[in-house]
Amino acid sequence: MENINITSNPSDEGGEIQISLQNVYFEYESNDDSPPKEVLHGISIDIRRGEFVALLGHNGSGKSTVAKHMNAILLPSGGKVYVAGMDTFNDSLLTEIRRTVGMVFQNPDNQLVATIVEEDVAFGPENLGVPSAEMRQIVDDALKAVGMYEYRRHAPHKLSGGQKQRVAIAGIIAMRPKCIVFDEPTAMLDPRGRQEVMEAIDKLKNELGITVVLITHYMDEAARADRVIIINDGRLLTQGKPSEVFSHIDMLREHHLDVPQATELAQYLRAAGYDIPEDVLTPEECAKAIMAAKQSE
Amino acid sequence: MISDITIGQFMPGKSFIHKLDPRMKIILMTAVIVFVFLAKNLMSMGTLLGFVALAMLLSRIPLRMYFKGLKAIWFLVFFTAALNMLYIKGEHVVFQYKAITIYEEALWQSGFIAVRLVMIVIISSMLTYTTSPTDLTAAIERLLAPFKLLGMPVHELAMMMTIALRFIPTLLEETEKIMNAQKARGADLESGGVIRRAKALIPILIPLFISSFRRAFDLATAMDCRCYTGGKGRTRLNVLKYRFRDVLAFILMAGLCAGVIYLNTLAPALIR
Repeated sequence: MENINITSNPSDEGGEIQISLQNVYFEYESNDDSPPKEVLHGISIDIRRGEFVALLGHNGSGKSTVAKHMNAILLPSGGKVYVAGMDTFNDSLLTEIRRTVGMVFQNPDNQLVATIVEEDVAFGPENLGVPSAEMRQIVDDALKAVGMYEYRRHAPHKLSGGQKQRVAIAGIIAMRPKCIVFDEPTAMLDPRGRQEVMEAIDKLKNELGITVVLITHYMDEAARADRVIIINDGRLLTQGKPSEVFSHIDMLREHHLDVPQATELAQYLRAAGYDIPEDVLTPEECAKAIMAAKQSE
Repeated sequence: MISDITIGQFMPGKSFIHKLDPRMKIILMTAVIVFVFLAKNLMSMGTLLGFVALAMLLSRIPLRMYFKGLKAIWFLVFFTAALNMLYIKGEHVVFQYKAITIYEEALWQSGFIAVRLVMIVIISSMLTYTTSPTDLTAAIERLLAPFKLLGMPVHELAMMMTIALRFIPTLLEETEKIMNAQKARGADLESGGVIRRAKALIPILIPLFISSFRRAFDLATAMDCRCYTGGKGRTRLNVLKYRFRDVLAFILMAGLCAGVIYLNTLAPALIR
């Protein structure tokens, strides 16, 4: 592997690089004679082992396109993508790449293949040719990891959205990936489903040590990440710790992005003359900061 | 609501028939259907009837469920029996009125045909009542495996069946949603003649088709992400295994088949 761009990556204290997008260009071929539409204009991103990275950007910014490059669903029209050192252009490595980086999509209904939960979870390992004797343990472990073990004999269509999405996650875990890319996994769920899925994602990162790339437009979800990357118009706009990135409220607004509610409230309070720090992200932190400000008055 | 429809109407249970290997059930069902057509006198048909009645008891499926399955074919049974009764010529006249002559042979013939039809329906509903769609698909895939050598895409067919079964409830739900959405905009789906009602279906079918294509596209991507490359080198979570009860059922069945053939020779055939 040559020419990995580490200088653009602020979190270089972490482990080895798992996914590396190097100056990636991508264009969609159009059906008629009009020129192809370029959606990515030279993006470089490195994802390190064990990281939790949130990818933000407004609609049409190209964030989903970036995600689809991470396990060779799309191939760049310029530049290179490496997954654990494997070139995504190499056809013979396709299965290995996709079992290293799993992907969970927005609509849980359109990802489940089988008529019974446990058979759906087994779909990935079955494709990989895992011996039947080991399969049972793998499937049970994956279902337990997302808290869906009791539902293993249920039909997917009888589950709630959050439950279906957790089954989809279990289906990916069962392939034992090193990294999972989530493409707006909570966009179609109700608040309770969102909560369930986010808890499952936290657990993956903390207990199973799986690298997580989360594409979302919920800023509160992005605030949980180790690193936030903002993509605008097919280019990398900025990246850094959530507290750093979200402190530039004006810059985010300019690019039609929100900030977490707690950060926004903190900013208003600061503007009104209260002594509140800039790096407030969660409601808990916000509450503590307000308490501290009250006491110091 | 329409989403309550369950294909094949699987009724979970723990009976002897439920626990049989689905492959064995398909084999036995086929054998019974073949022998229903081979039984040609009262003794052999009676034995088969007794066997099917025993299987119905063993399945512990309520009798009314079997009658429900028969409802759809009553007309067909009656119609074929009546036709046979009127058209088959024989030697012994039982009944004569103007142009209608009914022979004894015709009575037997139509009776046997009615019994055959009823038994076929009972046997095949027994298979779907006692076997989950997943087991059924797995069994079909395994039983058809030899045809792979002839180039038949057996795995692909089974995969298509599984996906179809998986998406039937989802699409029914979606149809209901679209119908409600169109009704909310003033679409009238219930009144008018056949043509008008068929036309009213267009605004339901088009969105349904578009969303199905989108689903298919999404599902294909998701399957790619899960390393699906076709049937080659795939393993299974649940491996089908023949057990003692399957062997027992097979021996019983073999005995029955031999019995039917033997009993056929003891008395003259009542049906051609």
